[in-house]
Amino acid sequence: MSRCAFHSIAALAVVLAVVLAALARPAAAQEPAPTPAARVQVRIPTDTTIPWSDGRLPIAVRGTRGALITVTILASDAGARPLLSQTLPAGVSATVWWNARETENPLAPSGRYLLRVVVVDEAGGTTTALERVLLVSRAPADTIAESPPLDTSAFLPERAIVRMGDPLPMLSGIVTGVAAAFLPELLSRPNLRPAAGGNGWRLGVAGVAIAAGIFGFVTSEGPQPLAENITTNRALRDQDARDRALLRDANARAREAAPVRIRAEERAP
Amino acid sequence: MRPARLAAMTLGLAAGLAAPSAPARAQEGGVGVTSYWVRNHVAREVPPLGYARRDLLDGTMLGVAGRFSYGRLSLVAEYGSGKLGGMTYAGSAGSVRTERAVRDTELGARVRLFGWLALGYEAHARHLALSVSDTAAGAATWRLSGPSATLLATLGRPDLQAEVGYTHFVSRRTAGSAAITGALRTVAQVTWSSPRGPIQVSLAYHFERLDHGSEGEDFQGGRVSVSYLFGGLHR
Repeated sequence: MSRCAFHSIAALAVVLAVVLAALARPAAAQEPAPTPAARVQVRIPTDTTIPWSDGRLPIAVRGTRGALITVTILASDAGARPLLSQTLPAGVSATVWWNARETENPLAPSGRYLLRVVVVDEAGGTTTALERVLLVSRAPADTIAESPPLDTSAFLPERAIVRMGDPLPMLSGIVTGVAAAFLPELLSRPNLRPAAGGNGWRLGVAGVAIAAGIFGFVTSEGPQPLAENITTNRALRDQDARDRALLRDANARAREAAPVRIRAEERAP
Repeated sequence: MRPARLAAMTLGLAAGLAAPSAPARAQEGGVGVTSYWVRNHVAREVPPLGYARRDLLDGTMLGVAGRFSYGRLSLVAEYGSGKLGGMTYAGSAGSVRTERAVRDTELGARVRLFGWLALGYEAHARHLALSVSDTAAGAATWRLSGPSATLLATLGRPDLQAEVGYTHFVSRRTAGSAAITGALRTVAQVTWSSPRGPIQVSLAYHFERLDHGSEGEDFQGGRVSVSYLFGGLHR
C-alpha cells in the first residue's frame, strides 16, 4: 500500500469517528432545562369541631403554577368510596369545603376517612402531595335524663273494699244445709226411712252450712271501682306519657344536632 | 251401657268442656286426716216380721286423705278404717253384739267446668269383716264406681266454700255378700280455709245408700277433715 493511500484511510477513519461521536451524544443535552417539581401547600385544622347542620371542614390548597391539584376524601371502608373529589386548576389558591357527610347517608357516621391531595404536573405525572387520616366523631349530645316511672304512691286507689250485701252466699248456705238435712231422707230406702234420722250430725252440718252462709252474707266484702280516682289516675298517666314523649323528642333532636369533631392525623406508614 | 264406657264418656265430656276455658297452670295439693262418725242402718228381711227388722251399728272411722289440683282438674285419694257395732236382733237368741270392721278406699277425679259445677268419676272399695259376739262371721268386699256431679259455691268469703255432691255408682261388684243392685252417695260439705296458714277444715255429711235386692242398708254420718295445703298458686 502506498503512503498516500494509508493517509487517505486514516483521514476517513478520523472523519467516521467524529461522525459516530457526534451521533452518540446524549439527547438530553439538547432538551430545555428541567422545570422545578410541581409543589402544593395544604392547610387543614388538626382538631376542629363543626356544627352538624351547616358545618364544613376547610381544606386550603395553594398550588404552584402549572400543576393541577385533585383533593379527594375516601371512606376507609372496604370499598374506599370517594365522598369528595375536586380538581383545582393550575396555579390557584382555593379552599375546598367538606361537610362531613356521605352522599348516600345524610347522617355523618363516625369513623375514619382518608384525605388525599394529588398533584398532576404538565407532563401528566402524578404525585401524592399529602395524605391525612380524618377521624370523625359526634360530640356528646346535651340531653336530659328521663325520670323514673311514676311511683305507685303517686296514684289514688282505684278500688275500695266495701260490704257487698250479696244474698247469694246466704242462699248457697241454705241450699247446702237443706241438702245435708233432707237429701238422706229423700234418698233412703222406704223401709229405712222411718229411722233415717242419722246420728245427729245431719242437723249439725245443716246448721253449720246455714250459719256459714249467713256469716258470709254479713261479712262479705269485695272491691268496688272508684270512677273519680280512675279518671284522675288515667289523666296522670297520660300527662306523664306526653311529658316523656316530648323529652324523648327533644333528646333525639339534641343527639341529631350534636356537633361533629374532626381530627387530622398523619397516615401510618 | 257398660260402666267403663259411661265413665270414659263422662270424663271425656268434662275434659272437653273444661279445656277451652282452662285457666293458667295452678297447682294445689293437700294432705289431711279425717274422722267419720258413721251410722250403719241395715234393713234385714226377717220372714216372720217382713221388713220390720232394722239393725243399727254405730262407730267411728279414722283415715287419711290426699288431694291434688291442677288447673280445673282435681284428684282425690282417701283411706279410712274403723269398727261399727251395735245390738242386733238374732231371732230366738235375742239380741247379740254385732260388729263390722270397715276399711274404705276411695279414688276420684273431678273437673271443674264452671265456678259452680264440677263433674267427675269416683271409685270406691269397701271391705267389711263381720263378727257376732266376738266370733268372726265372714267378710265381704264391695267395689263401686260411677260418675259424680258437684255443685260449688263460695259463701261470700274466699275462705268459706260449700258444695253438694251426688255420685251414682253404676258399676257395682261384690265378693262375699249379696249383689248390690243400686248404690248412691250424697255429700253436703262446708270448707273453711285459714287465711293465715295452709290449713283447711271441712265439715261434711255423707249419706250412702246400698240396695241388696229386697234388703238394703245405708251409711251416713258427719265427717270432719283437717288438711295441710301446699302449692296453692290459685288461692
